[in-house]
Amino acid sequence: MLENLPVEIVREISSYLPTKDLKNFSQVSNRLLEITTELLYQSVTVKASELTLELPYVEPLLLAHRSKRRPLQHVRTINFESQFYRKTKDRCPHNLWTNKMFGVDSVDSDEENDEEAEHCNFDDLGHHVLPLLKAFDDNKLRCFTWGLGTCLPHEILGPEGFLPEKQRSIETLRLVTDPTCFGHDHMAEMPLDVFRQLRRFSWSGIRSEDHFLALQSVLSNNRDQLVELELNLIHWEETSKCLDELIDSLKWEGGTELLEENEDIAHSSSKFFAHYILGLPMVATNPSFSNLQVLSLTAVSFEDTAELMASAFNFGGLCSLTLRLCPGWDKLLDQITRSENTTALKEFEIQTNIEYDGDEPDRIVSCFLTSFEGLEKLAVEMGSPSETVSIWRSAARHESTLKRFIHHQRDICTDDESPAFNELIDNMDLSLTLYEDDVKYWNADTSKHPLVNVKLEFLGICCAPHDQFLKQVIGALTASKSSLQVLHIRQSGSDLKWTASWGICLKRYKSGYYIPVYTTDQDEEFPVLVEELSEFARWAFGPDGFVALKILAFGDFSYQGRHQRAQVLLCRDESRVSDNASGKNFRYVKKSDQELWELLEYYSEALESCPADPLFSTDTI
Amino acid sequence: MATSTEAPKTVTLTTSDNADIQVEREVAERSILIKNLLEDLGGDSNEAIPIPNVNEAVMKKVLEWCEQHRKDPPASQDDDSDSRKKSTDIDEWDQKFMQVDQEMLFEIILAANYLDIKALLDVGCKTVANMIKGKSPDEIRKTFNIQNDFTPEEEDQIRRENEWAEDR
Repeated sequence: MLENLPVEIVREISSYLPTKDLKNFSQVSNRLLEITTELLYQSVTVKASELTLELPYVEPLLLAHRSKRRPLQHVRTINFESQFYRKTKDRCPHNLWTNKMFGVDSVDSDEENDEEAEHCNFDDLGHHVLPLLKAFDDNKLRCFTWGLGTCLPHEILGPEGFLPEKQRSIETLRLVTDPTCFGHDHMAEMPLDVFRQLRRFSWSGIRSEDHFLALQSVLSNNRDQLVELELNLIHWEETSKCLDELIDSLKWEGGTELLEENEDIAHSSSKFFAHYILGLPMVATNPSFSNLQVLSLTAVSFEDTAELMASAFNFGGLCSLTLRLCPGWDKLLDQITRSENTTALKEFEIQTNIEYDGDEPDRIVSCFLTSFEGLEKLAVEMGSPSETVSIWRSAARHESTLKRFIHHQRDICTDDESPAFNELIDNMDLSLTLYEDDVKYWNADTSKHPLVNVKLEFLGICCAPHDQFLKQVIGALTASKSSLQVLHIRQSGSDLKWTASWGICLKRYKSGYYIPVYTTDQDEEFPVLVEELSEFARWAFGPDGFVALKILAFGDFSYQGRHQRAQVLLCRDESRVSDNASGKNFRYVKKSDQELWELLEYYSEALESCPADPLFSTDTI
Repeated sequence: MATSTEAPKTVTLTTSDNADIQVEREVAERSILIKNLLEDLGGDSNEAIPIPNVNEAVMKKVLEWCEQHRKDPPASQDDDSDSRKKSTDIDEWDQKFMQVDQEMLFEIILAANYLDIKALLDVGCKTVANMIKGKSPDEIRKTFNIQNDFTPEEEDQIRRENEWAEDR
């Protein structure tokens, strides 16, 4: 019967299938293969292992290219992807070569052979990928993602490279490049100015002078049609050194009027970035980036430019704003709040860094949040102690719309007995021990809890389940919170170098390396829970807990699996749901729990928000 | 607004097996096909409307759904062509409604398609998608009783070509 459905209905059914299921569906019969090929091949992904980034797995697609069906004619989106787990430093294959050439200890010591030493692995990357790209029809690609975190081979994005020559109709361009790589000194020119139809642009790891010139040109050609813009400079101080060098070389060339006429731009890398790279006018009249809806900036400084940015960017038109580790973020938010330019934001994420926080970071965030209504997703990470209750009250201003709320606090550890002394670590109680009276009060009268009327579906909270404290902090929400589906207890993975896990038992080695203690259940391994988390889960899934709760997630979910070893996922155990408090009413999420994995996929952005460590390591070389 | 006390207007539908079904006009108009037909006929025609592609059993089932969803607002058309659609947001009543044998399920989908009832078609397709998810090609064949018409060589070739789509 399914076989006989009209083509358009089979297509409709296929449109609800995730790639892996669509693939299986297409392999059922000739007719289904014929109908689903177009959809399956519309968006293809080439993966590379983090350890062999120069060899992305292009073989299956090349094989498909040779087939009579010519499925690659349907490709509109191509993504090159890899994990960002361990290789967060010296990531680009160039590094291996530079290290060999200049005698730095190489990461893996291959058989030392002179010929081998002169061969640069990076060159393999372009040779390897180009045949695949050549298989696509000219100007058919709409979306190109380079997510490997390496330099871009010049065959692909250099002058006369494949993309600038053959695929100028690209509308979405996402790049992740290694900001620490110095192997690219030659041939790093990227003629991004040929793309004039971009609507979504994202670049993480921008560092070299060539990068910034390319960024400048791509923005100047697409400024007013861009709908999404994401820029991740990884580390502002490092980046600003590079911007200073760029200013110097531009001066040497005696090129730009902008620098000649405006002394102060040459003295401030953040002003230079705003005016020269982003191209914002000296005096803002009409907002630039007039169609922008989604803006995400990481490690971009507003120290000298808050006022200009607030008026030059079309903040009023944004529906999503993410600011991570941006010096001067407080000045910017303060300016936006004052501008009375009502925002229509539906999503807001702010991740501060105590180094950059001004006098009253919590007050500025609270004021900003109370200056408008309509947020659906909110993520806040700041230093501690801070006024958690006042932030929660401001969040409650969005009670009729807010569905996802994430709150995290990190600060320098001041306990000189602790191995984490002087390091940035999680605050395990969200500063709420300072509000002990409030917390008691919430439990006595649940209606006094600031978040009591917010119909949250996702709550992510950095608070240990110890001594029943977390239960007291959110217990008041169980009464009305029939909507909560996912509760995420956040503990940053990088903290585990120094501190114990709040949720799972770890086995530690002298080197500082750790692995969870595993238990086996039907051939699957799961980490053993600490008693506090067990007890908390029993309560959360129990009759006094959250009735709609589907998943209790514990740990750090940033960058997908980077901190996999310290994650655990629990769900309701339907078979024992009516047990009394002594019984176990929850279990581990298993591989076969299809629906729960879909739910996690749906909330993946919330689980991954406010990552504690950066995409690339910022240890200076 | 609608303060009239008179009995709600009804229409008569004649199914493929020649059964006449009387139904409130508002319910029948969940079908865009019927709605347009009634508008074309104009005014208060009492003629029975022939529905030659749908039999009585299926029509009754479809009308049961229309009755339940008679007051639904028109679906918002925010098609995000880039992202795949979600199949998990089926409401509870619809889930129960769709617990029928496969033949009926596909009959409902075909009828919804013919009668142009977008929301019912969506629910039907999502239900089928959920039956496909998590299954291997062979399990899908078994579930839907589909003949494997590939040669072993072809099957192996396609499996290798599609290998890029493994996992997520």
